[in-house]
Amino acid sequence: MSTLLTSRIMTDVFGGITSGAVIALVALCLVIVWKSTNVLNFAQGAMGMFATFVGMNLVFHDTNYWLCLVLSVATGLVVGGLTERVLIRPLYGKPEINPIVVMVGFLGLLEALVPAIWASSFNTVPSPFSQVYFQSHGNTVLLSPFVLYQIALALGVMLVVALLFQYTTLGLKMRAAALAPEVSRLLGVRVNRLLTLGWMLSSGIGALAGVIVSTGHTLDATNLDGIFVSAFIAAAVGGLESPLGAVIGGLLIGLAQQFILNYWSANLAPLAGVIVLLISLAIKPQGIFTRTVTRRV
Amino acid sequence: MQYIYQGESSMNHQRIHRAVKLVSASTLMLGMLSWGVGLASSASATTATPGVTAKSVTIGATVPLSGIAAGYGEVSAAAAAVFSYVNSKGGINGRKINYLRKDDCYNINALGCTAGTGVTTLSQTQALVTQSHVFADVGSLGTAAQGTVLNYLNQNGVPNLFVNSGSSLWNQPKKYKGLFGFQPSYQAESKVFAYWIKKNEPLAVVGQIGQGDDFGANGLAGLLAAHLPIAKANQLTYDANVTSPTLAAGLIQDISTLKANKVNAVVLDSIPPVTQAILKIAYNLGYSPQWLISSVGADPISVATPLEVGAITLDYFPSTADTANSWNQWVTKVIKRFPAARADFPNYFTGANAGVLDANMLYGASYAVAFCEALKSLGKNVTRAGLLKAMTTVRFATPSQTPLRYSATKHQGLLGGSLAQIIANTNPASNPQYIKLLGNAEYTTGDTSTTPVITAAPIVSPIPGWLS
Repeated sequence: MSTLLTSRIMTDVFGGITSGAVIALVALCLVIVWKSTNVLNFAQGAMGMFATFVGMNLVFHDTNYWLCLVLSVATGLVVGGLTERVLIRPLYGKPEINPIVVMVGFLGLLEALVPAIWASSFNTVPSPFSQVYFQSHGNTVLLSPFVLYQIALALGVMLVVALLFQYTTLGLKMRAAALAPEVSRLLGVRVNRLLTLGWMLSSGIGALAGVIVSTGHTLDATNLDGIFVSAFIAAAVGGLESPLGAVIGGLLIGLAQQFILNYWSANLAPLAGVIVLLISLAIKPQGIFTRTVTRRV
Repeated sequence: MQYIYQGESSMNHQRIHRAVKLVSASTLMLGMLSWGVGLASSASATTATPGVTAKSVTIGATVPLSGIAAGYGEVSAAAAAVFSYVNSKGGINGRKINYLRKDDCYNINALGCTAGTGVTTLSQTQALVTQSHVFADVGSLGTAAQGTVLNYLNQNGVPNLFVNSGSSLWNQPKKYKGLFGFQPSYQAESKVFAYWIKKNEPLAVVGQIGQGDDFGANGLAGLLAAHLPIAKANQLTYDANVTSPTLAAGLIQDISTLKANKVNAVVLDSIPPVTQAILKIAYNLGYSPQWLISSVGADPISVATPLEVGAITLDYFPSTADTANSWNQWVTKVIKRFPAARADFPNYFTGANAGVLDANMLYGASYAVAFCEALKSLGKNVTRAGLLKAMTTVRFATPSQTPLRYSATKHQGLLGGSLAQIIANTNPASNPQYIKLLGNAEYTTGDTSTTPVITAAPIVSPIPGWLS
């Protein structure tokens, strides 16, 4: 058993799941926003990092890590809600390129705003758990209490989201509002509120992803950029509207990156997403988890 | 006939493609526009010697003041303080020196860069040449960053002096007559490290982690030139142009490899924040080899982790703890009295290390002093041709313990330094000593396997009377 845990393959699997879990989390955010408002949120990563900055920057001023985490997520919820109300709502019913352009602009704005507000520093965000990897007979198991915390947090959030959508009235309303807004409105569902809620949820989770990624590292406005690109592909592979697809896509890309990193070259790891995308397009171009609609004419 | 409804995703791909095309087209147009503007202004600036008036000499540098390598901001800040000090004494031959420091973010416009959208080392250098009409580029920093402007400065006839990098790129006098380096080449540095390994750890299995540009490549070349056997699997690189979490993922892989291959002496050609990341990851992986860290990535105050204690490095300045050293006293005086802004020296005026000199300050002060000496030797008649000639004839006196000498065929700069060991990373209250020189010796060598490592006594150049 212990030799299995320290084997090269298992090392890659652990490494892949760690990075894949965060990719999956961001992909999930994209899917929630897409499902609820049909907007591709290019600022997803930057919004998450902005919220992360608001909360986690206080760590450097001797604030408790967990308090900072809660503050980050709360900021994420607010930023998401405001974004939907102020930037996105006026664009409903307009050409679909409009929200994309607005969100790309918002991305640039946020990434410029962060270094303007907070001085750059190479202080690393202290981890609440030990980052020392477990050892087995002198060999390293690529898991540490900190890595387990990252994975558990990411998977926990995904589980909560799944339960929310599947088993609560609120989740049912959100699904209904996204699927058939007019009918839902007729049935008394306050659709606009639920759209805002979708954005809040997505941005709050984005903030959590920002915290997970930045713990143990330097805080940087672009920390989620590379992950966003992978997450975008993961969401697309899943068909953009399947939360499960996004999660599986994210984990797949994380694993692919890790194996390329180890067996090929670190410089080629970012290609993993492209490879996964190519394969999925070749097998099922409409997204692996999308139901194919076939029509006869 | 059968149609497959492909859903929203493929439509969105088309939309994204269109957006990407739009962005790249407009970038291209902007680029062409700024190129045109550059051409127009350079045409109007060809009279007399650029940057030189009866009362002043304007010079400039592109340096990281924000972003991943912002920690090096102190280097040019120390140089600026020296120029302010010299100006306060009337300047050089009646001319005040006007030193323009432009933030280029190490040519990595991300990672906390606040220089502005689209700013690069090239764009900042062009601004210095075409808008500020600098006489010379003095003390610009970074191997990859400065590699992008060699040709531009050369074509425009702008002297490019004391580039802050140990790359051997700066030592090509035939191709670039006006280009001069400052510090020993990374090859020379690695050869001195190899000398130490052979003497102290002759049985060590050696590995290297280098930055994925000439910095890392030259460092490796030096180790190989010294005939150290380094297996291909233990020659590793990292990419500085990625975010901290991505960098860490690659480093975990590299360090796991070195550990698995039982490497017990690792040479690092990395910048300080990466050195810090490497040391921490190695600790987390339960790996503790003998570290040998390039001088540019070893400054204990920047690296800021006790894990660095025990590492070997190269030092071409006197120990900063040697308060009796006349140059240390002089640089302290200059930095205390003439900082452009106290924030330029974040560690010197506040915090646990307040009042402690570091090697970055001695570095900046050294090239500034050398520039003043070259300029002084020209007398009243300041021309670019005269300056280049002075570079190879002046016997520079700087804080460095290694002679700074250039010749018509050699433009590298310092030829080596002292071996030193990191002994602390925080300021011991009574004796602020971070780095201890190993023995009283200087090691000099060239880049290739044919030049041996030569041992000599360190020098202390007297401070010129007009400076003190």
